[in-house]
Amino acid sequence: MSTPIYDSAAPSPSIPQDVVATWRSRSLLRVLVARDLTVRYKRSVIGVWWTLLNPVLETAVLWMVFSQVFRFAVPGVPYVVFVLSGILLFNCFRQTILGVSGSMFLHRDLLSKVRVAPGMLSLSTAGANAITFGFTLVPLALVMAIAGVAPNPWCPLAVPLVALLIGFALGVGLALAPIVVRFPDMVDLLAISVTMIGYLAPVFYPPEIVPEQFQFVEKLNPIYHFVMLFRDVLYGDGAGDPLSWLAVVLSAGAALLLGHAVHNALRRGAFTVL
Amino acid sequence: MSDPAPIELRDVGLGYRLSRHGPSSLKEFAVELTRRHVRYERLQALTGITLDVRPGEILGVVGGNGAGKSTLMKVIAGILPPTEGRVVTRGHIAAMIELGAGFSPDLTGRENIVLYGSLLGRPPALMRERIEEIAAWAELTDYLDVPIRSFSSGMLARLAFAICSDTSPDVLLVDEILAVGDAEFSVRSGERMDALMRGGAAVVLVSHDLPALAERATRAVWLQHGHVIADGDPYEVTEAYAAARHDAPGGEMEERSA
Repeated sequence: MSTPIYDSAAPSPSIPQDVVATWRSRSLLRVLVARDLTVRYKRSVIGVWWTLLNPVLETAVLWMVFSQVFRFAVPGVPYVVFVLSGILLFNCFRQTILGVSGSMFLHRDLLSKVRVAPGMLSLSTAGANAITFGFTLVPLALVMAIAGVAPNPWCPLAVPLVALLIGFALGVGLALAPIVVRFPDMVDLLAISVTMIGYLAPVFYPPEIVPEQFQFVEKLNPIYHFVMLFRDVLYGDGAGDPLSWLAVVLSAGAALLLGHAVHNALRRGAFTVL
Repeated sequence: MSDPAPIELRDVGLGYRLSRHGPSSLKEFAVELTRRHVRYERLQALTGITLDVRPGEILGVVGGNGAGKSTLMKVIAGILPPTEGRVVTRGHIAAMIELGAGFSPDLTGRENIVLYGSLLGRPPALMRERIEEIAAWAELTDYLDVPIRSFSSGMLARLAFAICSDTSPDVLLVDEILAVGDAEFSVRSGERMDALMRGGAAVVLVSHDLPALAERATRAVWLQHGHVIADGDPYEVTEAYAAARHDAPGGEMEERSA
């Protein structure tokens, strides 16, 4: 076993160095993800289903309001499939960005007593959310089957798409985590902003209802492209709009690069307030 | 023995930036900003510390409350990054500073042994092999599958100590406040700590028990207001510290409130 060396004057790790270091500590990451999931679901099957209840109920409410009261119709599929797919993907984004942003603050006790890279805690939050999202695909598949919607043969593309979405949320969250340590109420502000981003994206309304001259604004929102692509690969035709794929790859890449840089710049300062 | 020392501190300083009124939220910060009231104060916890601790050496640290002992330990452990100077440690570290911070109350004893050990930098696979032995030493074999939320503080302390000390470190940091649990446990933990210290690690030991510290340590430093004001033979340093404390019994309190 090599001798670990800690040098406080060592420069912050670059992204490749961090990737290598994370790969080396993958067993710790696995332990941390298992901890997150066990704590979240209290080691019970009910616990897992309980967290699925929330999006299902939300879908039921939205379906009642928009499909029955306002008589919304979306082209191609029943509204319930449309809205559930949007909500599940958006919830994954919201939970990951809020979870990662709050990860340093949540574990401040640990960080001030044990030497552990705060990025590991952020990554484990993101990993636990990825697994949780996997569970939520079960009710989605059921609803699609009941509604008689055939899946797109391209649907495995949902895997890289969700990975990119979690990468995007992880990047933004990494940048915010040291700031949240300083200002914990930042999370409330973030929660409102995320809700706003959700309303600005076609999560529960079809994108066409936005007046044509404003549709370009809609497309500036990365979540627009994630949601559109998710529905495309799930039940549309083909592999989705290449421009949208470009948008999601670029936004995830930019968020991770920037998030990593900001996190490294602010991390040290955050420790003095822990 | 021309190897570099396992613990190397060069001109290490640590300054906290505290705002005078301590805005701890964006709201308060914004309010103070509009009143043009945001003033920061620097609190220098450590200044210009240069130390080497070599294998087999046991460095005792004495000083009053707020003198910077715990901060020094955290800086050596790599928990707090220093704001000035440089800290280098070489090898595996066991820091018995504040035990049990890595526990998750909802997880069982078994899961927590793996979790805490992994957080301390040991491979999870190795921790899984060590579970039975660690539990046996902590006398918690019967409670391994119970969530530790229901553990008493004594049980938690035993478990934390057993996990932390189940290693042969190159660098060992010990804060004396570990005198927890019943008399029998404190004897056993003391013996185990002594065994670790004799194992050839570079040891830093913080204690208020001056005679015991002078006996154990091979060298001692006296910290005051974050400065090292004496460094040398443990008997001489502890005597000088005891004499100074005797002369100015109120001196330590002023440090904190100043």
